Amino acid sequence: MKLTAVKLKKCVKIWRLSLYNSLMQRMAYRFNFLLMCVGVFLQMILTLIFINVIFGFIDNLSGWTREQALIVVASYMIIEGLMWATCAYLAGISRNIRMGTMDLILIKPMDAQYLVSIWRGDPEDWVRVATALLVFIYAIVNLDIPLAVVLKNLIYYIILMFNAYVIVYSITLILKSFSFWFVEATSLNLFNQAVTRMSQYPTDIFAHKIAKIIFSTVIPLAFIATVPAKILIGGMNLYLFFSSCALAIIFFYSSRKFWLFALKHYSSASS
Amino acid sequence: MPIIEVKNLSKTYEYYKKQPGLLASVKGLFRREKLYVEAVKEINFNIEEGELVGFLGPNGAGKTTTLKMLSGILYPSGGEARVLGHIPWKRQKEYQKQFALVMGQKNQLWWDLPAMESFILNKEIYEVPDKEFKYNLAELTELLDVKDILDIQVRKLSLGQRMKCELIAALLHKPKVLFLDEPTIGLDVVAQKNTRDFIKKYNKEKKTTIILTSHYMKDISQLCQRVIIIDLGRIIYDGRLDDLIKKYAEVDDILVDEVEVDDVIREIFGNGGGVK
Repeated sequence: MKLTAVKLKKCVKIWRLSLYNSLMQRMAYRFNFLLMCVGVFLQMILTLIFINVIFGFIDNLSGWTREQALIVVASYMIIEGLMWATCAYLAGISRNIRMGTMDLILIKPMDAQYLVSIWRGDPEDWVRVATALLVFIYAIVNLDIPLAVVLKNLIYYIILMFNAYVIVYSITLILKSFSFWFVEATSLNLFNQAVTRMSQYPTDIFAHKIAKIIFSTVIPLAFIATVPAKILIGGMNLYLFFSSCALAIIFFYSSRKFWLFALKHYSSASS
Repeated sequence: MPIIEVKNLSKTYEYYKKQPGLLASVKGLFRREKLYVEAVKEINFNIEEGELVGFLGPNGAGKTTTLKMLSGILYPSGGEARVLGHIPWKRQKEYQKQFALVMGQKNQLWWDLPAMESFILNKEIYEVPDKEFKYNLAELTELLDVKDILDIQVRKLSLGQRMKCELIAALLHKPKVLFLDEPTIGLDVVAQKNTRDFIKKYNKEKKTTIILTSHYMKDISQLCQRVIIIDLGRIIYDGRLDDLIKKYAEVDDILVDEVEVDDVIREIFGNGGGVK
């Protein structure tokens, strides 16, 4: 028990240092950093404008009102923002494999998956998280749900969002692990983005039966933003709640196994 | 008991061939002829504690591949290896804390930050206690004479200064085994000499076991008593450097320092020795 606590403490410390280093690295180029923050902010504004335009024509989107849909959008943005802000190195894995620069991380006396995941975080994406939280608060306030109900559902929501983060992380890790074979794997980035971005709107818009089954099992997009939003708005749904927990565990376990398997096939680059 | 034991260690890579031209690339989309290259073929050697061994061979001979297997970065295709009693590719933390790898062509320092930030991160990763960290850092900066540059962005440093910082980052946890893969590559004559002097002194004082690869004969002749020569994945010589130089009879010792390792190997073993 004590050993686990010590290990955990070390993990947190390394994570903190890597976040600091990422931030300091960005701040070394002030204007670039500023522009990146503004860029991230504008990107999000565009999404919000898009939502507004859609709701200018319709009252509801597959049963979701504007404010409800905004909760889904904000939830997705929080998850996406957190992924970039904490695990940005994962996105660049294929490049680092091709150049062989990952070698020096792999020899360090820490879990390679952990180190590779947290090695770099993009600080400008905290802007994404912060903006998303503002949108989230705005949507909640305009939803007309009693505060007591919101607070109660919020606890479930936070757990579901944690699961969503784990699911997105695991999908990313699995896709990125293919880089060990493909080496040049920009395609995986595109695929990864395509897949996760589909979850930024209520998944009910994918009305086809087969789509529904796929998006709640194989690629559980529904559980990334839609399910947390659903439970926050409509209250607890035990089936969805436990499905989300189970999926998070299954995905995390599989991604871990797959990563370890892929690592064995690593062929590195020459000097 | 040897610190490093290597028995029949092999590594095979997969690759494919492509004829020049667009058409061949299109064909390659559908069908590829898979080829295998044995980068390392059943090599054997032992290294005792405190030895500083030169690991030589032309480009593509298998040096880096061997070092990467001994560092646990690559899984071998066959054979065994033990370093400090550990199987490297099991990546046990106890082992990883006791060795270091420095590659002349790759850096582990954070590019846009002063080297000190990378040292601090390494301190935590390798769990070096505060007191020891301070002591080691002071000692290494003194030895390498880099006190003034620790607060300067790494990218602003010269190649020589950067290599010194790379060495510090790798040695802060006092590794028992050190793999140096072309640490002097691209450095000017002065920086090469400084790096060499440091390696010599460090090995002598700390009794660190070191495997060094280099293309500069001067590195080898001034640092190593024993050399292992590898070519096309096979070990073609393992013995004292003096004996090797004696074979290189036509040229005297002074000149030996000025040539590239590859030339010496080619001269001695010729094409019959397996050298390309």
